[in-house]
Amino acid sequence: MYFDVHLFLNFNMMVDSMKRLACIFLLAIASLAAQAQSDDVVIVIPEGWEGAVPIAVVPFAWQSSDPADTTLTDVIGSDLRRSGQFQILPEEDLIERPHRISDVQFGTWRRLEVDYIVVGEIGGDSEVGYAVEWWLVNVVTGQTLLAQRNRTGDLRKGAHEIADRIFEELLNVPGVFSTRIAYVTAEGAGDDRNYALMVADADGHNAQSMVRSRQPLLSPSWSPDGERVAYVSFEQGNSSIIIQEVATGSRRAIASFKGINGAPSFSPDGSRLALTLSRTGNPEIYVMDISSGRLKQLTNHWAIDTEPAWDVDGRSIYFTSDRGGKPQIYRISTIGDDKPQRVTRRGEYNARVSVSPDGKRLAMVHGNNNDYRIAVLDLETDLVSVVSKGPLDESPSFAPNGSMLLYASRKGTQGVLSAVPVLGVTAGSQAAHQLVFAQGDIREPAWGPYRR
Amino acid sequence: MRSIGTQRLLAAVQAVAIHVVFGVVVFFGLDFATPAVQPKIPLRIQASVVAPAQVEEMRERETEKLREEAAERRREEQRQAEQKREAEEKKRQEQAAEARRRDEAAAALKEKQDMAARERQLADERQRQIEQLRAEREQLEQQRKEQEKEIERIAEQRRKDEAEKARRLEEERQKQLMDLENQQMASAERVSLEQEYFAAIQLVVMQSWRRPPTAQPGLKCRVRVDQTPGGNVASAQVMTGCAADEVVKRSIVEAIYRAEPLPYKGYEDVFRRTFIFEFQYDG
Repeated sequence: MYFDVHLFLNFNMMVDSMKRLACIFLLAIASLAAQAQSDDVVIVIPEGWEGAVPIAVVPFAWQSSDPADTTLTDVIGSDLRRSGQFQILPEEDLIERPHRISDVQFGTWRRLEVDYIVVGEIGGDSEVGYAVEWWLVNVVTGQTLLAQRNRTGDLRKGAHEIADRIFEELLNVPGVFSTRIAYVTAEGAGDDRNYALMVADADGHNAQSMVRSRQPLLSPSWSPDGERVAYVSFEQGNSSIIIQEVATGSRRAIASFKGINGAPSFSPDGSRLALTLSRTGNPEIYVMDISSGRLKQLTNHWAIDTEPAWDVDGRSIYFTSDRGGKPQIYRISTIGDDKPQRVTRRGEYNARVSVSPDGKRLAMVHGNNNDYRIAVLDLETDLVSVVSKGPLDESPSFAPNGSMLLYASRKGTQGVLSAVPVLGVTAGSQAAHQLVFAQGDIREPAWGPYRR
Repeated sequence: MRSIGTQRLLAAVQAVAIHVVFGVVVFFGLDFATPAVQPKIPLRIQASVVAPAQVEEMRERETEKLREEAAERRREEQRQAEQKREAEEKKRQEQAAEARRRDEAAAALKEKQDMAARERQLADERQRQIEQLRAEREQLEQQRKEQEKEIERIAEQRRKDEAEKARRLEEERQKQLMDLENQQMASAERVSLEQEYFAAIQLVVMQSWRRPPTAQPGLKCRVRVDQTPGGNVASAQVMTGCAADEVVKRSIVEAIYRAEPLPYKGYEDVFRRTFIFEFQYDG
């Protein structure tokens, strides 16, 4: 039994408050096929809406003998908020402050229009470690989604781990709040300029230097296991590519050829490095087998070819080339001898590509008329969406879950880092969140992989 | 050398001068006798000739002055006596006024106490009246309820009669309405209300579905929903064949519960206990 959809238009005269909306919706519905199959009525829901997940993070009860500290819940809240995927209930709206699941009044939270609530307790102390017992509850269905006990010696670290679990549970995408980022800082001016390669938490806290130099440091790139960082150093006068262990600080130069040694990028399996060399006189893309040092030249063109980035399967490489007159993104196979294919079609300038973890999107610096912004190219639809405000944004780097982009921009004379959500339809609609850092000119960020 | 006459005259002038000085001192007080001014006086006097008549006049003026001073003293004494009398009078009046005030205050207090007592009396009276009214109202309410029950009973009886009548009429009518066209029309009316019901449910569920970003285009998931009369969801189960992740499945179940209570009022006649919703997403 089928019902004619046009008859339903009368319905909007009955539902007062939703009249207009109903009319629009009902017109938009292609088929409201309320059909009876063996006496069951099937109602089609052809639409929904996408938006940030409304969640309440109630400050956990402090049962430690240490002085009271709200770091844990503060960090969970700011992590979730920064991701762009969550809408955190403001602290002043927390009219109840349950700490255990038995104290949660679902009605209250449903009225506050939150879908989920996080409650918990913190025991132990900084000496023996904090014991955090916490729950994630679905307020709409009354279901307990997570009930966990964590031990942590560091409240920030513990908070990132909890935020990661909540993110994954509610979005089915692993969280990246426990990951790290690398970047380069420059301080001082002229002959007193000092460079440092830094590693910090994904929110910019706990920054530590890996190497300091009076000569420029450039282009950090993480190995897929997160244990090494490759970068360009001018410490020897000419450029060379260094691979350094993050944990021990031990390092070795793997490329110090005549001319440019630049833009290293680890292959997805970590065994090879793509890089730019100008040892033949012109910058070309090469792939080096790290253990043997053997080189394979991929490009051979009089134009500048640089900034290689691996596709997720390791079988091809995206890079920047001005062979068409202006810098654009090209793609070349690492296996065969195919000619490079141009990938970007829109905009007069596209460079410095970063490949999303699923390989379906490219982030790049997108320039028009001296305005340089970060844009995301959807390789399936060929649509470009600009996600930053410019005018001098650079070095986009995908988070390992593809939900956010890290990039550098100029603020006055200083370089600053920002993170912007790029997952789902909310991508780019939210303001980028500037990371908190100490003083200094900051640039060339690279988002590290998941931590084991 | 000076003559004796001249010397005498000089002595006389000196004597007069001394008197004058004395007189001046008495007249104007010691203020005048400052050391800086004193030497000038003989010089000034020396320059004029004073006649004996003038001296006599001065002496008289002096005694006159003394008399006046005595009179002034007496007047002063009288004035002080007068002031004292006045002060005493004033004090007496104030005391009288104070006494009056005290009496008035006492009177006012008494008045107030009396008023409070009267008010208490009134309040008690009002309270009694209210209680009486309440009792009366309750009685009336009881009566009204009984009346209502009676009315309801009568109405019920009437409804039953009417229903019986209507049923009989309907039976008759049905017997008469044997033609196919009329039957089809009745059926169409019922379908129309049912369509409205379905559309109302569709709308609220659609508005309640917050789709997670991991929902893939081509999504097609069915959920079986049981509800109770009134529109409360008894259960919502995602059916097999839903190729979506747990987060999307959860969002579908949440959409049903968020829409609770489902539309019911006005659709009692076409209410259905079980629905199947098909959630779709085409990207």
